[in-house]
Amino acid sequence: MDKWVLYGKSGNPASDIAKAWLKNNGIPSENYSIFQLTREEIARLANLLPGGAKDLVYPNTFSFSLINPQKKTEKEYIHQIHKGELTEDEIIGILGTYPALVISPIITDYKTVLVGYNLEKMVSTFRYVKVKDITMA
Amino acid sequence: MSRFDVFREAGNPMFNDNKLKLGIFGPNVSNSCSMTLANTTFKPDFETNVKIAKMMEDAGYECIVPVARWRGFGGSSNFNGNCMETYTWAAAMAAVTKKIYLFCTSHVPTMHPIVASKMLSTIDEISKGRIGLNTVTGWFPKEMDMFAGKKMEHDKGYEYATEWMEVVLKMWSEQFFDYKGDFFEIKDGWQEPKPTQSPRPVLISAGTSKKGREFSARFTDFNFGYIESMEHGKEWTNYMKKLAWDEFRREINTFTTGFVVCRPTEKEAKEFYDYYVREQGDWEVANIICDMFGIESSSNSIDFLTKARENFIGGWGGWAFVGTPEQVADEMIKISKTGISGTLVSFLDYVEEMPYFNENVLPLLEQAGVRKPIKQEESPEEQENTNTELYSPVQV
Repeated sequence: MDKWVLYGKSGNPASDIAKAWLKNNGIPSENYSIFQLTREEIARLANLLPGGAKDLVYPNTFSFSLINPQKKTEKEYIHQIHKGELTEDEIIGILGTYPALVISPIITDYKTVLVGYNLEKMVSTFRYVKVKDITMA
Repeated sequence: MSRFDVFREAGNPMFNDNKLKLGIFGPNVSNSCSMTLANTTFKPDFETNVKIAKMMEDAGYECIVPVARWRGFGGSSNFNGNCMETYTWAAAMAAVTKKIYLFCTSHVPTMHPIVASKMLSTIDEISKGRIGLNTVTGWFPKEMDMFAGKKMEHDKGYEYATEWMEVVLKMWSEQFFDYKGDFFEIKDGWQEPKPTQSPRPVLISAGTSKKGREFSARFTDFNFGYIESMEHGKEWTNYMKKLAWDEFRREINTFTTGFVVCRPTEKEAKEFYDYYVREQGDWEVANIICDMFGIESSSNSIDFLTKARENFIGGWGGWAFVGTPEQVADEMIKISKTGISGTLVSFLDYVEEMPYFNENVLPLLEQAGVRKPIKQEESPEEQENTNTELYSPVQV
């Protein structure tokens, strides 16, 4: 059976919409906060992305501030990450310490990962989804 | 954990601790299983079905299997002519019962698998997980011909049923799937709700042909069939278990059916049998049905043919449980010893005859260890009293 996990952030409309899409389209998923992401999980997700860990990060400080208006400290890392000034390990380390930098929602079965809410991508990703194990011996 | 373990753990009554499960067959059709003109209070109406189901729940029966019928067989009784359709029947029964496991019997050529799968999921929701599926390919030509010539050649019928079942199973377990077969093409298949049952609704099918048995071994949890002798019952059960495991690495059980004439004395039981089978039996319809099954063969003796017809009249060809409670129980215990998981039973008059059977035969089956005593549920008042006794302060 396919096991999907959504890492979201309360108050983020994109997280709420993605959660609703999964529920109403009959895709069982476990919901966690983006702040529960561990360093190891971030590393696993980064491995699945073409650009690595930086694909998990908000593209700019503006979009980051829209969702995380109270957070100031982390903002400085966004430039560094996207400028290519940091190694993959360093980026993963920063994201482990400041998970707010990770775009929410993240939807994954640890074989595929969707970063942020994109309806077209959701529709094309969720094909042939096994939601209930009925076969067995 | 095997599939059967999952069913057991989920508390499915078809997989409980009773070595011999019990159910009834065809309460939704006129005459039920008895091809007779004898007097009976039995009517295939909802009120009677509810009455019967409540009796069964109180006595701990496991299941009810309805007959799918779209027209009668003819004869003076027009046997099974008045019939409640099984999906709607099951939905209604689900709403008024609490424990008994219900089945829908579905002629696969008469219903699209997406519709069947959705209806079963809906009944699963209504019944809180007490619905299963009995698949039939359709063998009564006049009945299938009503659907504009849908009676398929035998083997083709099972190829159709295979695709039908594959679609149902996918609808129950997958989302956004495509399926392309010879008979069905599904684009972006999707369904909510899925059935709640773990792992899924129980599947049963009858079928004694090679294709029928293969279908059963491949997909179902119980192969349903008639036995000619205890030895035959044992051979059939062993054959099906071996077939299911060797070919498909699956477990399967067997389930049979019989008719009950249970009276305080053997004489009374035999007299009643003579009355409703030999005197009042609808021999016309028994001939029609025997012809359809190819039993009318010159290689069979007159005695055999007569006995076959009597069994059909008595209860759809099922095993004859005729006699005193001890004799009836004895036959049922023998059936359990063959490895068969359970038997459906039918009565000429359920409301009149079932209470006597329940009061006199079931305790004997419990004594013999093939069934467990039913645990009576406490009423809310009794529960409150029990709690008070447990937690009242000790007087010093």
